Amino acid sequence: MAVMKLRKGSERKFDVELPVEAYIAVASKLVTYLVLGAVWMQLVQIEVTLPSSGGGGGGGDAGLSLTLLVSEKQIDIAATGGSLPPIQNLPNGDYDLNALSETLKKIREKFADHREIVLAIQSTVVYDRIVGLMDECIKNNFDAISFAPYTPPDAAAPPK
Amino acid sequence: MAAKLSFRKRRHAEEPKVTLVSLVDFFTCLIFFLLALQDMGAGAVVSKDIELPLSISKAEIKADTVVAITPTSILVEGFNVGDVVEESQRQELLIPGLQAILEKIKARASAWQQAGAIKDWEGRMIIQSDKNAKFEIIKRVMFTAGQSGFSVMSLAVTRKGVE
Repeated sequence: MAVMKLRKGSERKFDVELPVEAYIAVASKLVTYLVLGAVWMQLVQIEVTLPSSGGGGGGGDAGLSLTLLVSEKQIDIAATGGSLPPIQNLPNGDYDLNALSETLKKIREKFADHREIVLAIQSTVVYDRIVGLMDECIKNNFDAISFAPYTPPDAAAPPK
Repeated sequence: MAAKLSFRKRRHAEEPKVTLVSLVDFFTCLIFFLLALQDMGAGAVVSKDIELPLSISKAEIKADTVVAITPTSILVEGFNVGDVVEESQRQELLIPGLQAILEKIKARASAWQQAGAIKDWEGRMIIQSDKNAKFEIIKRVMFTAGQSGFSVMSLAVTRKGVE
């Protein structure tokens, strides 16, 4: 009983207020910094394979080797054993993505399992336009994309 | 009357207490949310000079070695390793500054792998290029990366309809 009394008497009362003002000050500054630095857009990626030394030949299916020969003026579609008529640019200079999509759709119907496609691109083509072409390939399930350099015949340096 | 007055006085003398606990909770959650947002892929390290192209791709970005191609320079993890115009005119495809830093990164990764800090290093690289960059420079960056042991490459793009 005496012990109990002693315990009762020695009980401490914790009536201490935590100094949260400092934490709030730091937190508010940190929130401001993070909000200002945040990137409010969703980044995604497109996986590609290395450019091969020549034009084309990067596809996995040796039976098709589908290659888009991309120059500033037009897109040529080549595959093993032949090529399709070139897709000329629109009057405003943009690539005719609808025509490309239609062509890829037709190829997809014939080669249902083929995923590989090589984009052989002229050096002067702008990245934004390349991504537009890649989007059309992805839409048509040609998502194993590889790059290759390409020099169109009319842009090749004259022989010395 | 006097008693009434003194009662009022005592009541007003009490210091008002603001409950800060909920505010602390709110700030803590907000900080964690923003830190998580920053950690999502390479989103936090897109240079202000770069305007990424839009794409329909849905593949989530994986944090890795980032090579940025701004309109003027080539950056690796924020460090300038080459000038775009100068490198585009170089006769050989290899970009020496880029190769040097990528080889250092590869050597560091190999050391970590030997120490058991990382399981397997794939040599992944993300290229963040400005949408107006020409294929000439992208081709050179990819070639140099391939020569330096970075064989898995991705192009960072902004998802269409989210921007």
